[in-house]
Amino acid sequence: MNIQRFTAATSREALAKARLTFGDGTLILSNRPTENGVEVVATAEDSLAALDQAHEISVQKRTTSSPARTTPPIHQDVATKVEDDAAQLAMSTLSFQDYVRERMMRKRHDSTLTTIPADRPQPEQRSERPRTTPQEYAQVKKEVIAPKAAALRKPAAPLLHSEGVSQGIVDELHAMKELMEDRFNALAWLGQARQNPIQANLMLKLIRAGYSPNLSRAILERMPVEMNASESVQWIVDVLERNLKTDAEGPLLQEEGGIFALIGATGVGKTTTAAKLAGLCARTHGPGSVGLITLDTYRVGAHEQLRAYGKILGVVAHLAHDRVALQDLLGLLSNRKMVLIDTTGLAPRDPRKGEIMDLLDLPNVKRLLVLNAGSHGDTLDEAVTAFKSTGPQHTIFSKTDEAVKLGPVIDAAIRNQLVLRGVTTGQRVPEDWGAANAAKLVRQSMRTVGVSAYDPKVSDLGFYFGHPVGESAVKGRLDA
Amino acid sequence: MAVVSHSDEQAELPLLWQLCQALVTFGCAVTVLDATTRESESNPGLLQLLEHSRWSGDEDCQPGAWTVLPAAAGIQSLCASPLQQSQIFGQLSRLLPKGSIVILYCKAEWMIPIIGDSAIEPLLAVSPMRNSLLTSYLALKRLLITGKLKPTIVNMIPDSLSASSTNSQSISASLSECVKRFLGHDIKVVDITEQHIEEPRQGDTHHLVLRLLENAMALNADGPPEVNCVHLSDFRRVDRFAGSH
Repeated sequence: MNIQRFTAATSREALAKARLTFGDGTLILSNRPTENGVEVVATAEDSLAALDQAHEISVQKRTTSSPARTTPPIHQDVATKVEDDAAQLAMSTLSFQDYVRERMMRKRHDSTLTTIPADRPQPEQRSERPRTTPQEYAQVKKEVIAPKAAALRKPAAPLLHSEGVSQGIVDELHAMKELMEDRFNALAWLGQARQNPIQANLMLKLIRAGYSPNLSRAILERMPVEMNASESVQWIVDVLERNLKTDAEGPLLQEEGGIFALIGATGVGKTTTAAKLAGLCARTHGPGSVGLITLDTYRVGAHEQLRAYGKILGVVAHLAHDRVALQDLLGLLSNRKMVLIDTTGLAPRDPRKGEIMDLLDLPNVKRLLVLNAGSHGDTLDEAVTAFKSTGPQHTIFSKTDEAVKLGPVIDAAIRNQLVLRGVTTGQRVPEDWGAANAAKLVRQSMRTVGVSAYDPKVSDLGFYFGHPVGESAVKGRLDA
Repeated sequence: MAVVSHSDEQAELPLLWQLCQALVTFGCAVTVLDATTRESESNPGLLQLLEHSRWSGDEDCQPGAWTVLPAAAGIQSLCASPLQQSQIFGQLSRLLPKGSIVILYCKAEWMIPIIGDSAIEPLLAVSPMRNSLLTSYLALKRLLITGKLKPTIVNMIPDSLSASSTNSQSISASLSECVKRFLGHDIKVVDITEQHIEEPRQGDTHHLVLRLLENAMALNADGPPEVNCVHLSDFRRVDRFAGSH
């Protein structure tokens, strides 16, 4: 907006100067006497119209205004151009009455959504108000021109905007709410379970056996309350047995035959397990029925170890450096009943893991995940997640003879729906191999192993069950 | 009390609403003379009261009740009449409910003949709208120079903006600066947060209302009684609004 200052000896001269600059549409903002005369601050009248289009609409409406406006008001003596312009400004087309009606309706609408205390004074309801009838409201609304109605609705826009912006916060609040609900549910259940001495003892027994709080809670929640202590223990053992999937009803590994790749973390006993399986197959079907391939080119002596086992069994162990070599070897050994591929042991978070998994991504190659039965539950979970593949997951529990508790590995197998194909029980090849026997393993896991510094006490159970249920929870999948 | 209209309904109407709500909270009956709306057959107001009637005494001073009367033609006729300011007040006191707080909501040029040169501090609401600065300046100029009134600028802050929003505060700051520079007056500026949701928390509005009550003028009813007396119950059904918290 162009605002200029004009000084002259008299007001008339100063105004003349302003009009010379801005023409007839001169808008006098102020005039004041100075030492040299009079100072006038003025701008162009056009700037008023340019400021907002709403003004133009208002002025147009005033030109067609009602006859009452023709009545000369007493303020006419205030004769400046500014006031003449202002007299043309619109009379409000959105009246306060309309505004009140809208606010009242909104207020009433809000109050119907929320419960209002009955003892609260409601003067609004004291008198009859035809204004609330739809006909009258419609009549009033007709008088409200669209731009003004839009102006009234404007405040809703920021609210909508803020809703969009705060969607992330809402999601976080929901997540927090779920977390708190889980926590409170767990604590409530724990408090309830503690009231039942059988449940409390079994809970402690499961935790001491190495089973996870998630699986323990899932089982105990389904346990019938009317059973006595021995029945309860038997029921839990049965549930664990049913849920530990094995190949008991199908053929044994050495009978089934095929191409098996043993995968797993470092040091879990993949090579020894491969030798045991080769020995079992050779013992039944002869040395010519077994093929041995090793992909382990990282570890010093890995190939030699398998070759040594092969020599004992009368089987040649081959080394494959890459995918092409592996495919060639698989073609060469295609007439064998069982081909065992010993892979490089890698930590679950090792980036080379992907290479090995890609290498084994060949048709008819079945993977056997070797899990060290003596590992911690978290380590087992990580290994299962890292070496996960499509289709049914088959596993072998190794080093069960070294494991103090079998609970973690059984727990991991149940929660991850692994099919147990066998267990290794020592270093002797191939003698220390056992078939997958769920009953035997579960009972072994539930045996008391003596006092341990790691065993929780009843008072510690809150720490175990206070954690939220994770993704690996068994809810809805447990056969109880 | 008085609220100046300068065609910035986005700021003025929420301010009026919040004032009325606050007054009702204080247990006052409120009558709003809305001179931005013209009286009509279907929507009678001050003009009809001036011509034919006076307020019936049976429903005076209902605590918490508030009334909105269209008053454009009525205020114009009062401005055009040869009555003195005290006589205008006397006439209004007879026409309007006794004991109620009257809020005059009209343009500055109509306000001046009625409350000019008085202790009443009219409120001038400004919003972040672009044209609000100029229209409010024009109104302020009239009120200060012609009306000899001391208005208070009310900076209506939409609740979507924070109180420190530069956009909402720049208008009132610019206006205050312009008035100080060009008109030589220091004007008080009050920030009020516009509330779209009915909330009991209206601390800033309550403070403002208390200040207005201190400077409000009492209507003096010592003028001649009106002869024609028509009960307003017929059309007050339309114009009457009762609110509470």
